[in-house]
Amino acid sequence: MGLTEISDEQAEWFSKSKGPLFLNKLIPSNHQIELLASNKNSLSLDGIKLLSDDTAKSLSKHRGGLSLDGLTFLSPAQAE
Amino acid sequence: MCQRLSLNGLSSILDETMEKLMRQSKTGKTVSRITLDGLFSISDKQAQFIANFKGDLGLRKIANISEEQARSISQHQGGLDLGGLSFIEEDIIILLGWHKGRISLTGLKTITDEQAEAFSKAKCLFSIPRIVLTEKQAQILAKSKVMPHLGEKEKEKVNKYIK
Repeated sequence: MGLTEISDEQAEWFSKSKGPLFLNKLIPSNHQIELLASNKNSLSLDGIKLLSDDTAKSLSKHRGGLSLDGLTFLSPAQAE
Repeated sequence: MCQRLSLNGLSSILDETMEKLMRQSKTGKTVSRITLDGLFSISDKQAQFIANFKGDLGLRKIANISEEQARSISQHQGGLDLGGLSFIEEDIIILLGWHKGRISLTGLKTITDEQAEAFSKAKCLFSIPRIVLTEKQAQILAKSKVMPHLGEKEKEKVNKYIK
């Protein structure tokens, strides 16, 4: 079980929470990813199967641990 | 960039993508650990990019490494997890032995006397905790330049021969 969707307000709340975030069923919007990525703790978003370049850019701002084990492809631009 | 990046769902990776991932540490955006534990193999080019990476790298599904790749990988300077290797040629151990960090080979369970010799000459710290040693191999490993990390029982076997 796990959260499959959250509101922007909830994403904002998560962004300020202390401790690691495991949201492995969630496929967040780009805005939500920006909010979640601002949290400095470990962030696990293994439910994401494909990444857009915008999403990759937002995630690149994350400073803690980042788990994207659901991804089956990563382009060079996204890796950058 | 994040400190630790886990991309274990990738079963293959483009050379260009590997290049960008391994280059992160050179741009000041330090990634201290990348796990790519879903990759079944790497290309020679990708092994060259790994040489540039300064952090820990997980490649736990890789089942085989060529001499060319081992030569490149030995330039890497962090922790390297090659736990998927269940067999490794003596020549590859010698090449990997020049690595500047730690190499984990948790998939190895038995070795030959020649392989024990190769481990004993290594300059890097090999972790081979599942290997069961013969007395002769324990004797060989007792002369190691850098003592490999062994299981408790095997450590005791080797300690008997350390003067």
